[in-house]
Amino acid sequence: MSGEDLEQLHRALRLQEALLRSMLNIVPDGLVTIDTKGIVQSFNPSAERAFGYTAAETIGRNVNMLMPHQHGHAHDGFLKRYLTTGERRIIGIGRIVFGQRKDGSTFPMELQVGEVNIEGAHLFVGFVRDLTARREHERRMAELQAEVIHLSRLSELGHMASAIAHEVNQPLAAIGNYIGGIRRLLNDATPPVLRQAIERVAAQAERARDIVNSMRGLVKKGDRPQETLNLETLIRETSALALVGTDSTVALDLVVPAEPAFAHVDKVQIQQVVLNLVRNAVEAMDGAPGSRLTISIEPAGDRVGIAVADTGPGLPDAVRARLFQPFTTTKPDGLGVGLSICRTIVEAHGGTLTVESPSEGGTIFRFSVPSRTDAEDAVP
Amino acid sequence: MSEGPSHVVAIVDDDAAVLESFQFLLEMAGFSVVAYASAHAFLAAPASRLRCLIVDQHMPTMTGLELAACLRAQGVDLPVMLVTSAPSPGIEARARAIGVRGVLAKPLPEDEVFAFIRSCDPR
Repeated sequence: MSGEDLEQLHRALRLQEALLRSMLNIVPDGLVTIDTKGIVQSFNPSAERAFGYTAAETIGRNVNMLMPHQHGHAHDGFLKRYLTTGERRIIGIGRIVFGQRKDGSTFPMELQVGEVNIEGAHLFVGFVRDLTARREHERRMAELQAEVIHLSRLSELGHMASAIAHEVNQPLAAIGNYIGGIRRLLNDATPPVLRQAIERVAAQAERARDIVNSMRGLVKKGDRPQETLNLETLIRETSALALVGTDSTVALDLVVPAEPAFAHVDKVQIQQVVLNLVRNAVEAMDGAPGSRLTISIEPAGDRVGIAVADTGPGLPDAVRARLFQPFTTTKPDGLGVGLSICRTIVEAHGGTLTVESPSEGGTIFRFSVPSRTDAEDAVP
Repeated sequence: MSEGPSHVVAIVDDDAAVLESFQFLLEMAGFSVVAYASAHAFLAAPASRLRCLIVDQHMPTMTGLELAACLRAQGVDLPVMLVTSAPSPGIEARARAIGVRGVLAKPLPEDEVFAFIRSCDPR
């Protein structure tokens, strides 16, 4: 090799090294190289950030200092076994393990290990990705989801009790009416035993009515707090919550007025309504391509209208006729009280919940809540 | 019954058993009754010269209040009594606003129903 060639080769090598060094310094993954004895050879800035050690503190020491004690202990064994048997536990596979920071705290990380084995040098390169943020995000989402489920279960239970009370009340009302009519048919010729039996039917109907009334009293909550809220914020938050855990390929449009709309409502209850309507809409669209959910806020005088429109298949007439009755459901695991709850809540806010089937398809649910023009006492 | 068609009381309820039993009660008490299973059925074929209308609030597709509002919008001057199994201040306020005479809770107190009908002069 001529001197000139050698010079060129050196230049090329220096360039490669400079490139590699600059990459090691900026990659977001932590990079740790070790030799066959597990001794750290290099430790890049991302690894410094992830573990809290400086490169100087780790280079020359055993890499098991970066692992929780029990794993660190086993590591030397894994390394030895791989070198003698070639049995891979992690090389080229990658897995999620725990790392230990300088302060002793541990964190989940994704670890990929590569191997460099050339004449005179045998090294392993570990790529470390800190999963703390991702785990935290997943935990928060799971928490939110649990909150949503709890909220709707609780409300379903309460409303189920009142729906049962309502349903049982109907036949009781009919019995009462029949007894009232029959009493007018009684006269002096009526056998006393028949008169007595009718009065006993009346007494038993009365007893059943008392039971129903006490059940209703049980679920009737005290005065629920009403607050003035920015409807856009409320709807944005609640629909995000409703979409948690759904395979959300649904495009969500929020159509809001130029001026923010404030409403005087029971926050949890109105959240319940929005949650129910959004979930129903998403389920109706069933992830079909082009699924679009549009929620509009439409102020109208002393009330604010809210419309939830989907691009689903629309409602069959048979379903529509019984839509708001409790225990009506098209879902295999549904209680069928969702829309009945919504209607009750909306009525308690002085509005009505209605449904439309526009000619272009889909379904629109509309309801309104009392508006508040002065937002002075508003929670932003 | 001695009363003519102007004495007819119209009742509307989507629950067939409740509707039938209510008709039975009113007829046994001496009133003439025409019964409808929905607000739409009433609007499609209202009997002429009605004495009053007693309508259930909770019905699918059209509620009692919606029917009352619709009649008012058409300029129909018919005394209306709203019946609900879940009375609330909201319903009562809206009933007042559209000129509904009163709101009664189910199961119906007989005496108040009869008093309401009697207060509606036969026309």
